Order: sequence, then C-alpha cells, then structure tokens
Amino acid sequence: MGAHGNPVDHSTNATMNIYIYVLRRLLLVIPVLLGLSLITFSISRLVPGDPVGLAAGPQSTPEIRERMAAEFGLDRPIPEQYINYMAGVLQLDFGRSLYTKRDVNIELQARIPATLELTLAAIIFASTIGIPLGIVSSLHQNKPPDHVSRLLTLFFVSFPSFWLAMIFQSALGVYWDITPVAGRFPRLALPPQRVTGLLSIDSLLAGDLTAFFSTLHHIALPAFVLSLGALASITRITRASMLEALNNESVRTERSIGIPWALIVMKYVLRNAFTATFTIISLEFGWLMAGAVLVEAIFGWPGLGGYIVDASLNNDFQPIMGVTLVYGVIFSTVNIITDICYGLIDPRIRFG
Amino acid sequence: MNDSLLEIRDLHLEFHTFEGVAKVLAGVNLQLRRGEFLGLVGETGCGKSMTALAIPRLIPIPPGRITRGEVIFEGKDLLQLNDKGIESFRARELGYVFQDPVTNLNPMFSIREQLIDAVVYQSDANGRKPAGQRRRPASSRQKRRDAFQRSIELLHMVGIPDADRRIHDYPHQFSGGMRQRVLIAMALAGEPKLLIADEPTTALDVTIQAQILRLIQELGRKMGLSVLLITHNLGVVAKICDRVAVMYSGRVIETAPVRDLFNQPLHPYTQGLLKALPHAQSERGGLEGIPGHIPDLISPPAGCRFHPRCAHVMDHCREVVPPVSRKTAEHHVFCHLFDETEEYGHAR
Amino acid sequence: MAEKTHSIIDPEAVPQEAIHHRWESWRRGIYRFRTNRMSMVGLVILIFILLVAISAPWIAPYPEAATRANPLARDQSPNETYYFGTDRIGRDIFSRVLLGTGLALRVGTTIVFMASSIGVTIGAVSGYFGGWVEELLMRFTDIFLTVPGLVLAIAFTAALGRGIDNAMIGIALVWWPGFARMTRSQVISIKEEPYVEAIYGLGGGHMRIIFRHILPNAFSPIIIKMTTDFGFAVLTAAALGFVGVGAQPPTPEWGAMINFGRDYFPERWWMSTFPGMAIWLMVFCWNLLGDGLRDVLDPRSRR
Repeated sequence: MGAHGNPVDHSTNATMNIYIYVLRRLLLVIPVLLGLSLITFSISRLVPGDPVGLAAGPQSTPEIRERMAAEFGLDRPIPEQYINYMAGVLQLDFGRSLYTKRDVNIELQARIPATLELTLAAIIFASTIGIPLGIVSSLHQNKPPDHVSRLLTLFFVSFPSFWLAMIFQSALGVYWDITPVAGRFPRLALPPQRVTGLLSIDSLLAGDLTAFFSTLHHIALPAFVLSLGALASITRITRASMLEALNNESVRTERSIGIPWALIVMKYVLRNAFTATFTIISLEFGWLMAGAVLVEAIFGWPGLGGYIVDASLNNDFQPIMGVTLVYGVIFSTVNIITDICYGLIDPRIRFG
Repeated sequence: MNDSLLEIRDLHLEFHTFEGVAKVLAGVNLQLRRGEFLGLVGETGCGKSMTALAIPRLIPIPPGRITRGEVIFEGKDLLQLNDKGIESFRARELGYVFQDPVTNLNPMFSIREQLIDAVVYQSDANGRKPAGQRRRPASSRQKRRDAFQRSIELLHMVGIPDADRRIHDYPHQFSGGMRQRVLIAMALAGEPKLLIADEPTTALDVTIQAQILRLIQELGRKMGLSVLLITHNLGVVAKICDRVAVMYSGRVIETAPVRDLFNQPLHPYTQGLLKALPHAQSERGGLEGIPGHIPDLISPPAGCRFHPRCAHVMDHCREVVPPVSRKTAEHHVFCHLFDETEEYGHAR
Repeated sequence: MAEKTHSIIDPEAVPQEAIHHRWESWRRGIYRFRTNRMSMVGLVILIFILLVAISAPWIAPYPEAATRANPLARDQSPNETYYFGTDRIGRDIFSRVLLGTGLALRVGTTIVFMASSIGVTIGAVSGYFGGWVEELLMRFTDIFLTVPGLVLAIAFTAALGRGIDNAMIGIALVWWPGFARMTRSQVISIKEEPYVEAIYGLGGGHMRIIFRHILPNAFSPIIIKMTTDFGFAVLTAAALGFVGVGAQPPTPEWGAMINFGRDYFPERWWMSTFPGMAIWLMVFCWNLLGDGLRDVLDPRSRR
C-alpha cells in the first residue's frame, strides 16, 4: 500500500491497531479459560466413586490411600486444591496422573503436535476437495453436477468416522498393505530432531526426505478419514458463498463491461466468496480436533484424543483437565488468528 | 431510419416463477438513433429495466426466457451472437450504469484493480484481437501499466478530485456520488457507442443527483454517445432527453420527441402520467391520477393491457393488442383510439 | 381522483394479510420440499426407520437373544437363521440392530430436545434483555465453545458415570451453545421489529413477549438446526458408546456393538459392519431431511 504513496501514518496506524486488537482479544481469552478450568475442575470432583482408591488398587490399605491422597494434595479443601492447581498451570505444570503417575505436561508436550499435525492434514485434505466441489456446484446450480456433489458429501459425512477408520485400516492397511496400520512413524526408525514437533516439517527441516515421505505415508489414511467429516460443510459453505457472490450486483457490472466470464469467476467472485469459506474452515478445525479423538483411537495415533479417552475410562481427572485446557488454548488461538486474517482479507474491516 | 443504432423488435420475455409464468415483456418495440438521448419511462415493474438488461443479454437465463423478438445493433441481432460475441459487444460497444453505486462495485478490490480490468478488456476488444486468443506474458505488464495511466485519466474525466491518489482506495472509502462517477468511468473506459443508464441517480442524495445527470449529459454529448436513460422521473427526461418512450406493463405504448409528448400526450396512460406529474415528482409512488392496479404479469389483461384502467375503453381493446399508430412520423402510439390515423404512417 | 386502490393502510387488514402470508409461505415450503427429491428420499428412509423401531420387538427374530448370551451360537457368520450373524457370546446381531433403532431415535430426540430447550432459553433471555445479562450468559456459552464438544462430552459422561442415560445428558450439556448463539441473534433482530415494541407498549410481560411473540418467529432456523443436529447427536452418542463411556453391555447400542466387534475385525466383520451401516442410514436420512428443510426454510440458501 505504502508503495503507492499513501500517507505513512495511515499504515503505521493500522499495524498499531492490529497489536491493540490482538492484545484485547488475548485479554478476553483469560476469563474464558478460567471459566473452563473451573468447569472441568468441578466435574472432576463430581467423579462418582473414589479415584484414589481406584488408582491405588483393590488391595490398598487405608494408610496407602491416605498417603496417596496427601501426595496428590487431595486431602486439602476443594478451593485450596483448585488454587494450587491453577498456580501450577501458570507455571505449565498440569499435575500428575493418579493412574499412570506420569506428569501430565510431559504427555501433553509429546501429544499436542501429533493431534495438530493430524488435524491440519485433514483440514488441508477437506479444503482441497471441498472448495473445488463447492465451486463446481455453485456454477452448475441445481443441475446434475450440483446434485451429485451435494449427495456425495452428505453420503460421506454420515458415516461414523470410527467405523470408517476401522474398515479403511483393515482394507488398506492389513489386507492390501498399502498404508501403515498404525502410528505416526515407523516404530524402529529414528524420528527427525524435534523442532516444531510436527514430524513432516521437522523431517523437512532435517533435510530427511525418506522420513518426510514416511510421515506422509503414515498420516494419509487417518487424515483422509478425518477429513470426510468436514467435507460436507466446507462444500456447502463454499457453494452458498459462491452463489451469494455470483448474485452480487457487481458481477453484473463486471459482465456489462465485457470482462470474460472465466476471469470474473476466478478473480472477483472467488475472492468475495472466500471470506465465508475461510471462516467455516477455521470453525471446522475445531470440529476435526474432536473427530480426531476417535480416529486417533483407531489408528493408534499418539495424540490428545487417545489420552483423554484413556483418562476418562480410568476416572483419571488430572489429564482430563489438562487436555481440555490445552484444547481451549488452541481453539482460542485459532479464533484470534482467523479474525486477524479476516481483517486482512476484507478491506472494509478496520481493527480498533 | 438509417441513423438507427439499436432497434428492439417485438421482444418477448418470460420469467418462470413459483406462481406461474410471468410475461414480463410482451412485444417491446424501441429504436435508438445515433447520438440521441432516449428516455425510457414507466412505473416500477413495467419492464423498463428488463428491456435494458435484455439488450446485452444480462437477464438471468433460467428463470428468464426470451421467447420472441430481435435486438438489432448495427445490423446484427445480438440475441443470435455466441458467448464470445456478446462479451465482445459488451466490451466494445456498450457502457452500462446501474442504479445502486454501493452494490455495483466489488467491495474487495481497489478502484485501481477494477478500473484497470475494465480498461484492459475493453481496449483489447477494441484492438480487434481474434477471439479466444489469450493475451498474457510479454506485453501484459506493460499493458496494465498503460491501463493504469488511462484509468487515472478516466477518473479525472468523471470529475474525481485527486484521482492519482484516490485510485488506490477501496469502494467503501468513496461516497455514493463518487462511486457512481467511478462506475461511469468504468462504463466509458472503452469509448462505447451505446450507454445504458438505469435509474443512475435514484439511490443518490438529491443534491448529488443533478451533478451525476449533468455529467452523463456532458460526457454523452462530448463523446457522441447514444444514451438510453431509464427513469421514472419525467422531469429528468424533460431536462436531458431528445426523445422519450413510455412503457406500460411490458410494452412500449408511446414514443415521441420530448416536446411533443409533453405538449400533446396521446395515450390515455401517458395523459394520466402527465397529469399526475406535480404530485408524483417525489419518489416512485403510486400514480395518483390513474385509478386501478398495475396489472398482474402472470395473467395480464387480454388485448391492451391498460384497458381495465382506461376511461376510453372500447370493446375490441379487451381482445386485440393495439398496433402502432403514427400520429406524425416521429410520434407513435399503440392505442386503438388512434387506429384511424393510419394515413400518416408508412405501415410495414 | 383520490382513489388509491393499492397501498391503503387499513389496520384491520394487517393481521389477516400476515396470516395469509404465513400460510402462503408454508404452502410454498411444502411445495419446495416435495420437489426436492433428496429430502423426499430422506423422509421415506425416516418413515422406514420409524416403522422398524416401532415393530422391532415383534419383527426381531430373537428378541430375547438380543441381550442374553447364547454360548451355543457364538461367532456365526450371517446365515439363514441369523441374518447378520452372531457375536462373540452368541447374541443375534440382526435382532440387536433392530432393537437398537428405537434406542437411537430416543437418544437423538432426548439430546436434541434437551440441548435446544437449554440453548433456546439462554439465547432468548440474553438476546432479549441484552446488557450484562447477555454479556454474562454469552461468555458462559463461549466457555463451552472453546473445547470440542466430543471431548467435553466424554469428560462429562465419565464424571457422571458411564451409561447411555448419562451419555445423553453429557452430550446435551455440550450441545446447547449452538442453539443459544443462533437464538440470540434471531431474537436480537426480531425484537427490533415494530410489532414487538407495540406489544411491549401494550404492557405484555417479558416472558410472554419472548415465548409468545418472539420465539415463534425464530422458529424455522431452530427447526433446521434440530433436524440437522439429530443425526449428529445419534452419531456422537454412538461415538461415546464406541469409546466405552456411553451405553454399556448388554444394551443393544450400535456404537457399543461396533466397539465390541472391533477386536475381531476384519475376520468376523459382521459384528461391527451391520451396526455401522445402521448408524450411517440413520444419520444419512436426517442429513437429507436437514438439507431439504434448509432449502425450504432458510431464505438465504434460496435462489
């Protein structure tokens, strides 16, 4: 912008506004996360039965249980427990699992990138299929290609992902042996040095192409199965926003000027339709993280999903609280990033 | 007759809706001559905008359907052109200014981007490049640079102050009147022969309306354009048009030089329209002088569509669509009251 | 010539016109729905599912064997006696799938109605009153929207205790925020309408205005959401069953059945394949219906 001789103060103002905007959004996240921790903490104290007894085992004596409760701070009054927990969280200490006795934050560190990588891959899959499908649908509104794409996406989104995952795993992984059955990386190979924790990026950073392709090979099937859940809504929103953009009066103006139809669609209409699609993609990111819980369970993916499922089955609330808080942070971050991008895409939006 | 630029003959247009088939245009006849300003007037819903949109084929094709008629531009029937042909007609020969300047500019692109595309594609079409040939690599950058200079000139031409700076702005940074000026610049970028202006001032502030009209008038005269000006405001027509055509319910019912029409309106509808003028000046209101409803387009009255509201209705008005009657060589009316005045005409 | 036959504003005529308008739009809606082939297919499937659910206790060949182990008949592949085969402990899968239909419908209905009553109430109250009430309720709603619903539902259900009833409560507890957000925006736009102010001026109570005059006009998006959510609610409940915190054996719940057959897949494929197909059919039919209803009732998707 500045290159065209706009007043300089204009652009610096804009960047200042973005900083202020982000700061304000971050401040608004804090009460939400506090509320979230309060809710998960309360439900973890709702747990029927006796988690300590469960973790200590059936043969444990009252003394052992008491010692364990003291060790985990569970003999304190509930408000004090909450304050202690939150004090720990501020130092990134999410406590220790009663059941596995392992530190929650160590598990989280290992598992967050795994879930993020799977979800990102699925979003990329869903968008590369869903957006073109939606565009084709909108350009042939209420004609056969439109019906086929709508029917197809509804067909796939209705499958239980865990069931589909099972079937694909058996067919492609076991029967035809095209894809690995489980995991993120060959069990016996050495993973690339950890930088981001996303194996595909780390292996590229390490310049290890074999590792990179192996990562892709492992992630392809789980990400594909996961992406089917988001496919229908991405297609539908792309179609709807394309139709809206196509019906915009400015399209008629562009046609009256004699701009070729292909250029109108590819440049003007697509750009107008993009904001709505972009928003839904970031919303879908959240849905897919939820869906990942099930897909991870099937494919033995070492992510957050498997962790919270195991913890729930064992009434092990420390990991549950940690994982929900992490999800909260990831979600809020994605939301803020979305809104910023939205503002950058749409010239009408001014931060401030 | 040979100075005719555009002639619409017997144009029929239908819209397929839930309620049934709406016969939006039922035999429109209209002629536009080189260098003239023709006003097209009528109530909301009479089909004047649809007539204009049908010329460059901008009617959405389902649900719309053109069932009969011709649109002859310089001897060619536009309705028969293929997609490439009509695109090049729009680029080369036509400028179109719509009613609402707010919705007619794309909000996501700067004025620069939109104007440059207008200039590039209109000048390409004028350069008579063979259709289908992609212009891209080598000269593309240079072409856009030239187009940028031309865009600034165009903005100067339509009276946008500080054009070389404002061109980088986005539509929302302009006022309504300024946006309409930008749209006029885009329409005229390719130096067309025909300018269609569909209620170009209706959405604007009253104070701005006169400025925009004066701009259209000045540019039109300077560039020798033929202008089809659609409006419901007879005052505007009186001010800047040479001739006027009155539409009623999908048909043109009277055409005449502006002075003749105002001095001696022939069709009972036109008479009512003029009588109502002092009151109806304000906005697109009801026509206070004429009792009855605007006819339903799905099951319109047979014969002359005005007959249910006409004070002079005769029996065969209810059955026969009135043919053209020529009061003078310039003053045509479609009404059975004037069936006997054929002697002036040169019937086809 | 003062005869202005159109645009006469007659106060008596307004309500009648409104009624006529509503009836007219219903008529159009039904017409549009019927011409939408996909949603008609959805309706036919739903009727089929309802018939199966109602008659399951009679048409299931071995209703008693659906929940009781039968060691003599375990691990049978589909055959003439057991159309869908039997599971690890000899229960008839066909009967279990049939009996699971009613359960799935009950689960979907319960979740959708619980979630929508919580969500609509919270959304309507916050949208109507605005101010700090709205701020408080919406921040509370945001909390639930910052964590994937399934994760929170698993946590809630685990805390409440495993089982299908708690799973329904757990899911409903994370499902309402969508309804709340939507209802709030609807109510905000409707309460600006002049007729609401008129009723307020006549001295109507807040609750009466909300429930009698505002909500009925926010009906169609709520109905659309209930329909599309129904299938996904069934899917989520099945997911909880699959994970192990939902329905517990021997309840003939489809998700739990898939979980039970999982270890024997693909050799004994029938154990989890048929319940999976049943889930698919149920979700698919609701999605078809929802898509059709959206076309009919949502003015934005209409063209």
